[in-house]
Amino acid sequence: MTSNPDGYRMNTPRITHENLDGEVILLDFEVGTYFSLSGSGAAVWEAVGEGATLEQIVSRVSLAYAGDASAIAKSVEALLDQMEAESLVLRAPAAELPPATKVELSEASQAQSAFETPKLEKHTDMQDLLLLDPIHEVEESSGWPNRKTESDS
Amino acid sequence: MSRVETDGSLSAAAFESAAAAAVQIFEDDYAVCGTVVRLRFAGPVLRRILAPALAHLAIPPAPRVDLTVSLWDAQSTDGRQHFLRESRDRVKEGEIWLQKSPERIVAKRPSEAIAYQLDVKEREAFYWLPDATAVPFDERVAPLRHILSWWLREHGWLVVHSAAVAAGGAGLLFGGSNNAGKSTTALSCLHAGLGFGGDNYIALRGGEQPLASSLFASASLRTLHANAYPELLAPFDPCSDAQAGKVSGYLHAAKPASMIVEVPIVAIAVPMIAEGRSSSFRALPKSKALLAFISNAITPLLGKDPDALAFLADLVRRTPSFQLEVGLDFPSIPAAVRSLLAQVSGSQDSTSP
Repeated sequence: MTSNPDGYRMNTPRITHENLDGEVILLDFEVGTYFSLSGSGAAVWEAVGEGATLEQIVSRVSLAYAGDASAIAKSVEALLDQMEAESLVLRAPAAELPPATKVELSEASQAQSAFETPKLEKHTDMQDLLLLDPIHEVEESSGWPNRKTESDS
Repeated sequence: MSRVETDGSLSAAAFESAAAAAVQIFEDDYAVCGTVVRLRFAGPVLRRILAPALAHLAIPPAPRVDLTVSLWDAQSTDGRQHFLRESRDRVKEGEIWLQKSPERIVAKRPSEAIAYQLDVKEREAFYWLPDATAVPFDERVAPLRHILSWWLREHGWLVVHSAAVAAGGAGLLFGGSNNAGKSTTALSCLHAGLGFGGDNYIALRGGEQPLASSLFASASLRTLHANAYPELLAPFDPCSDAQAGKVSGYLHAAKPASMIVEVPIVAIAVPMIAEGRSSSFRALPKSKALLAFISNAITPLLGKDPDALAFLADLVRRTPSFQLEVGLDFPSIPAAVRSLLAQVSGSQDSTSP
């Protein structure tokens, strides 16, 4: 694992999320896609939610699961790259992470179960519904709203 | 030449002007999710086209009204054009432009120049279009769905794209992707005498005992379904949306006693077309149920609703979830549904809606 001083945070409010039975469901309304995050992914997402550096996230997962440390680090790093590419997480300089909520390694639980590779699945079938009721939120302007165009942004 | 007003809002004064030209105002009251919604039509033309889909919710004139919706068109009233159509090369057919503030939600369907407006604090809404006789099929099937979804969200309800049926006073909510069998299931249940809440849009209320509430007693059915149950659908005139391969019409005339207004949801199900003849249920992990509901249930009627996922997740956590394998033998579907609802609710009477 390369040393990286950056941390990660959830891309909220754009991304909303719910954990059901250890599987995290993430919804990106902006583009009409949703994701399921299974395996050790829920532990990664939980750490991201608390504001953690890459090393802290890897450490937490390593303590929570039994397995080869380098393989865990590689899987976690790959997942974070994938989540960043999908705009689910944003990078944040470690100095900007809220100190009170940083992951403390001493608080992490001891290894309980065999490591499960985190798996992020992307679903795009919401697009069908968006076609059924194709609604675009528009910017406030004088008079009747006009659809925001790329040149406006 | 018609006068064009594009000041960005509809108003009571504009409605009164239209109503004066139409000579008569028609007022109809409806019980919608525990609120009284009054529709005020300027003249009879638009009323004849939009009101029948809400007929199962009609109530006698109410002493207290929660929301008043004024509806009119230019063609059959004063001719005033409040908005103009956008050219078809600039917008897609059916596309909606939406603008929200805490006080007012406005939307425009630019391809047909239909305008919708809800003034939240005044509890007043407006619906306008150039010509009532040119109402699109989806607006006839699910009239005022935008205004109603905004209004109901203010009152704790979430309008979703789902189907709901009931037996013995216990409701089953269906979610899942298009072509998964929701309409097949809901219509076979209606045909068999189960309660029917809708096969398109349903209003949901969360909490300890989630509720499903019917909105529209109408349907837009694929030809397969319309042919399978020809006696259930009273088609619109003109009766078919041929371009979409669908037949649209009203369901309540054939089975008025089967239309349910509100029912507790005791289970949720995700249908899946199976290869066998019989239909059956099996338990479904909650995360899979939520994924299925997200794929199709969260409508964009409200624009971006950051609370919609949490709402559905709470519903799924509280409610047993199942996969329904929809068999080729249609009568097996309501039989399986009755059996499941009796089992989940503990009711012995699954024969009544």
